[in-house]
Amino acid sequence: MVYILLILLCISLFLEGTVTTLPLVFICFVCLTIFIRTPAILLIAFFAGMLLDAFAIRAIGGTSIFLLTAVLLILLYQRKYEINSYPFVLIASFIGSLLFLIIFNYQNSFGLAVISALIAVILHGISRIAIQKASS
Amino acid sequence: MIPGLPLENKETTIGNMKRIKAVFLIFSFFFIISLLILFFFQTPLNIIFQTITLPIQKWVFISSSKSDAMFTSQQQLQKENNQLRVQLAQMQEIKKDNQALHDQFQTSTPIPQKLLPAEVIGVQQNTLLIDKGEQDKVHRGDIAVFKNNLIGKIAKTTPHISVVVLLSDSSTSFTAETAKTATVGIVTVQDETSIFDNVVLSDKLEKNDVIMTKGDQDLQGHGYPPNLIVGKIVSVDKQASNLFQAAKIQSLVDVADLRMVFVMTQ
Repeated sequence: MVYILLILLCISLFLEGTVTTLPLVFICFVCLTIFIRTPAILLIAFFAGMLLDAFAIRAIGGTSIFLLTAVLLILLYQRKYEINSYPFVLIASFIGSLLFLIIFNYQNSFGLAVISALIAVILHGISRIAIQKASS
Repeated sequence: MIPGLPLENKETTIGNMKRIKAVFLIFSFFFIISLLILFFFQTPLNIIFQTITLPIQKWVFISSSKSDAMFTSQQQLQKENNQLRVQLAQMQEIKKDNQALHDQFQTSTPIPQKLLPAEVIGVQQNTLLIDKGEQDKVHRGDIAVFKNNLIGKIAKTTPHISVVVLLSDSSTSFTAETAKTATVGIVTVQDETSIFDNVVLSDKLEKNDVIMTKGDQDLQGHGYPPNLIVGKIVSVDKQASNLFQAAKIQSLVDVADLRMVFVMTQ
């Protein structure tokens, strides 16, 4: 499932850079961090951010900083609380997406953040079911 | 050593602390690199990344957009209708020009400009990404057109890619006139809808009349050139109590279907 999420991350990178304003890459990172939980995710966040900035004609490095910080916060949060849960995914993806859209000056940030949170919950649900089936 | 804890717990706690240290170290390393790139290495990295990503971006955009074969007959008719409107507006412009020639035996010549074809590689909220940049002599403020339809203005350039801000962006504001009645007004955007505003009540606004740019260029040729089609009037808001009347405009070009635009370079 982790590999599928990584492939999804690549597709999201291209889609977010060309046809959509939804923060799909951030959503993928929320889901990936829940299942990977290793420092390697920071390396992926760094390069994904660089590529996304290049695609979206933004100052290179800005998205990397955002993604690195988001991943770090999730990794720190998981020490104290359970992050593999629907409420966490919903709240984290909503707040993260909203901040991302506001920082990078997108219009209709609230609406897009709500849609992003819903997509994140669906993606997380599918991932959980797939992992449960794979392990049983 | 952490006193007062069972051995197993102590090992777990030490392992966790090591992990957190590793996370912080890696985070700090990449964070500092990102900051350095953000403030000191923009241009070289932009050139490298865009050289790599441009072909992929083009391919993704073309594959994700709908093809011409997917157009329904209604959309085809709409397209033809729009083309006819463009032709009609052109005819009216030619008629006006002829009249001016007859009257004055001369006509004004617009500043010669080059049209640079550029492929669309991305569509985002009120912006288009095109595959031409500073290295192709595209500058901020240049105008993007398709046929003789105004598409938008170049808002940002990088070595290989430029951002075109569409007419639907809230920053849009320029003078324009109607093709039939030569009524002058200002094109602005309100609630993500293009409006032909500030038209005095005594002037005539007709539904389906075509709105054209009046020309907002400076001495260097920057700004909107005249006689580019902005769109057609879909509804007129005229109230006797208001100082001005306004009309909603609809573009004759579906930006989502655009594959290529032309940049009017100086």
